[in-house]
Amino acid sequence: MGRVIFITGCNRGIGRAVVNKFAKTEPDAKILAHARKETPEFLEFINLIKNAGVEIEPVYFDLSKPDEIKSSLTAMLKANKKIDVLVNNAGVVKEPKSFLMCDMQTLRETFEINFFAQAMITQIICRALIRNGSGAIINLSSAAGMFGAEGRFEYSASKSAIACMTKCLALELAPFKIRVNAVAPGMTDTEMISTMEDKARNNLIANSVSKRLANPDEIANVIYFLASENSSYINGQILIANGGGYSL
Amino acid sequence: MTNLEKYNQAFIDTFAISNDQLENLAYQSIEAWDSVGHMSLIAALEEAFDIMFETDDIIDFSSYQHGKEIIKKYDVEL
Repeated sequence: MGRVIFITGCNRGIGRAVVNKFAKTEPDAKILAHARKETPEFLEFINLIKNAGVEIEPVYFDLSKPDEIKSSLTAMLKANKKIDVLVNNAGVVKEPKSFLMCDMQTLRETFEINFFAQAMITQIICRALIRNGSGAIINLSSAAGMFGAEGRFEYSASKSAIACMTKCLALELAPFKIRVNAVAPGMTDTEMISTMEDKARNNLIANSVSKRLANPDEIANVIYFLASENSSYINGQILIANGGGYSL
Repeated sequence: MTNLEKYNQAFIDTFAISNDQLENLAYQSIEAWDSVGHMSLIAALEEAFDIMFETDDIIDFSSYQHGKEIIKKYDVEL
């Protein structure tokens, strides 16, 4: 058996693209694919990967429920002693609103999922990586977390926290031969982007260096690179994949 | 190998120490039992007994002797 890869948020967008990338590039890998809950669409996706001859298992938990995260991951680690790669992809973005209109509840909910849940998942999965004596963790930050984004205060701040978590963990986990890096995508063609008004989205595209959205597969390629031996001396880095420039 | 022998062996292998050093061994009492060594010990014990420690127990695992009490919570008789 090849590597065991645990990826969160696989029901759509970048997570789904990452599953496809590993399935195509490492068909001997075992993929543990997380989604919030079982849906016909997700099961169809899982079966599609299975039918291609790749070992894949669904893992379900709600990122806003710490007890659910803990029990689900404990069961997963009981069944899978070995984990080689963790991709912390799942996240949430709320309706855009100005900072002055951002209520504290929205801020807390965003951080609960985009930061605290990621830290908890990483803390639990780290135990398996430490037992392995090696591993790679790839976190999903965002260009918004690097440069800020108007109307996306809570999301940008939570993704900035992920970037900092990445740097801290890289220092702490290096003695265990675990590398921790992050990808900071710019605007990517996923359902998340659909929360933007057309005018705002078109303006951002027009003002971007590449004049287009990223395809989720392009972000998956970067994640795969950071999970591979080709990046064996890259640790604690935030790889900005935004098509160029210093903004979203 | 008895459970006590497996427990002892985890310390001996992780910290490269001898059996006669175990009795009074505590966190940071030797150079090898630092924060990195601590997580390596936890990983070795989890592997040896097929258990998964609660985070609070990892923090509380402050000595060889106290560890014996903690590990009992996981149905491991020493």
